[in-house]
Amino acid sequence: MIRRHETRLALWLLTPALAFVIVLGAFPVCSQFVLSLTDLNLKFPAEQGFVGLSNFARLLGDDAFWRDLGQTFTFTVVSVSLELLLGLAIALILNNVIRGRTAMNSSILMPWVLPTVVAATMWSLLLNDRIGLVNSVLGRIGLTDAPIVWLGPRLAMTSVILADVWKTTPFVAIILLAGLKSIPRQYYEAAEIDGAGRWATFRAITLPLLKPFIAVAVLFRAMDAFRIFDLIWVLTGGASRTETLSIYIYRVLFRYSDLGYGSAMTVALFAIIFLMSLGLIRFMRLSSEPR
Amino acid sequence: MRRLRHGRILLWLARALVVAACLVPLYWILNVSLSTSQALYKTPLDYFPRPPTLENFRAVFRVNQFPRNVLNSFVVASLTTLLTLVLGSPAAYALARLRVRRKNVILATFLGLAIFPAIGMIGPLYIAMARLALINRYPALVLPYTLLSLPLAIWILTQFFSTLPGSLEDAALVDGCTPVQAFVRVILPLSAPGLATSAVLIFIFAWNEFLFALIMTSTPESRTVPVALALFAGLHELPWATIAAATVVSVLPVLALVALFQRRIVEGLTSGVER
Repeated sequence: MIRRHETRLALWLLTPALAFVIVLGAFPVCSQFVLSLTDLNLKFPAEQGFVGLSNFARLLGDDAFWRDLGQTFTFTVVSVSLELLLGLAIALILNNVIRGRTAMNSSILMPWVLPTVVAATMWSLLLNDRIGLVNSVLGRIGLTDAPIVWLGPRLAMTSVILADVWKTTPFVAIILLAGLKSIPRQYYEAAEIDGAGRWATFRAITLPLLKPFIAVAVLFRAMDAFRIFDLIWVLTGGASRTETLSIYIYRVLFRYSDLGYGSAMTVALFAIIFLMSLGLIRFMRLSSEPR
Repeated sequence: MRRLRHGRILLWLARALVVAACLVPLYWILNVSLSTSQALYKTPLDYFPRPPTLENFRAVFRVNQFPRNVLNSFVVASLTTLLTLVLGSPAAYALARLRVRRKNVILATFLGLAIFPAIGMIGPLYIAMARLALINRYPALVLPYTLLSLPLAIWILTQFFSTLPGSLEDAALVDGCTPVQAFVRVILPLSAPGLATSAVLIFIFAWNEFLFALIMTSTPESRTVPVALALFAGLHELPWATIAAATVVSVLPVLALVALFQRRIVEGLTSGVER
């Protein structure tokens, strides 16, 4: 009796959120799948129709798609790896801070809470080849003779990755800090009694117990990095071989008004992210099983 | 003993380096915003505003519709936070503490939504908003933002509700509350910290969002701060010093939130992974 009452109450409480998500969310998601099978173009609304999988066939032969997929992949792999390494280092450095913890946590949170557009604007000023702080400092300490064109063709991807690493490493560091705090102190005491060195302790205790936290951080970051849009849009506009899939989709959808093809690319991007997440989860699970 | 001492000094140096890496770029923007436009073109550069001036901030508030953009951002972020919590907290309560049929299907729905590329939702949502004549108006941003922040809010709140002791509702029911009253009068007040955590994260997300704001607004007076800022910089219609001042104005609210709720934000970010 009570049980039935409880499920009914639960249903009532869940209905508003579910209804909202289904009306507003399921509609765009499903319409992407439907639109991806049509050649709907807002510039030529008369000539629309069902074209089967031909958008996906076009995708396979689209050099720009493959180029941008490669660039998105490079961006994701390099920036997430750097963020993981730096985030781990920062978490280890900041672990067990007692005095000044609030100040330190606040300062490392700052880059992460900044609007991405602000971070990008800030970095385009810092990296400006004529008036940027970076070139000024490099010149003053005598490391460079001529100003470096950070956002030019050769270094644009490096600069974009640098800005992303600055902005999102704090997220990784905070997740890993929580991980370090969850490791019982007794494990370290036991290791010390056994005479284990620092490196051995790190490899035998810290790293294995941190693995689930590393998995979550990498998964979240990889999914976000693969969809990156605003940072690159503001820094380079996608020029100098920094265009990612999201920017290409934006171009197709909103410059060329090619809804059919743009939707097909969205579906492809979703599929890639979905498979990538599954792969990452599987990999993490396999590597955390005892050998 | 001496080695230990050296180790400690090195550790504090490393900590200082981390803090500096985070704060120096921010300092630079503040410096430029307080300097004259000409100061930026000096070689070598001044690393302090000499002389400091507030002219750039005055210029920002004269230019375009920037005060209006700030107001828009506040309204949109606040309404999003409110709507997300109103929809999300009952749902999270049900998921955390009540028997729900097909719980996994419901969770999977929210999760799938969280990984779908936002860029793909914009087109259909744009068409829907255009049909409803909502483009350039607050709902065109509040509704999609609520959609995007619901999964995170439900996730955090579910974690939070499940940490409360299980006997709370029973006690309330014995005292003659209805189940709904038990949720509203007993559980919600006790969950203030969890609600605050989610509210801060939702507000920051909505304040910072760019892609939807770029597409759902087309007039200067309907833009939010990030879009206004990106268009300032993109069009090069303003000197860098003015752009820097606009940047400083646009980050003040989020920096204030960090200063006030630093611990809550960390809690929210890590609530899903702890255990």
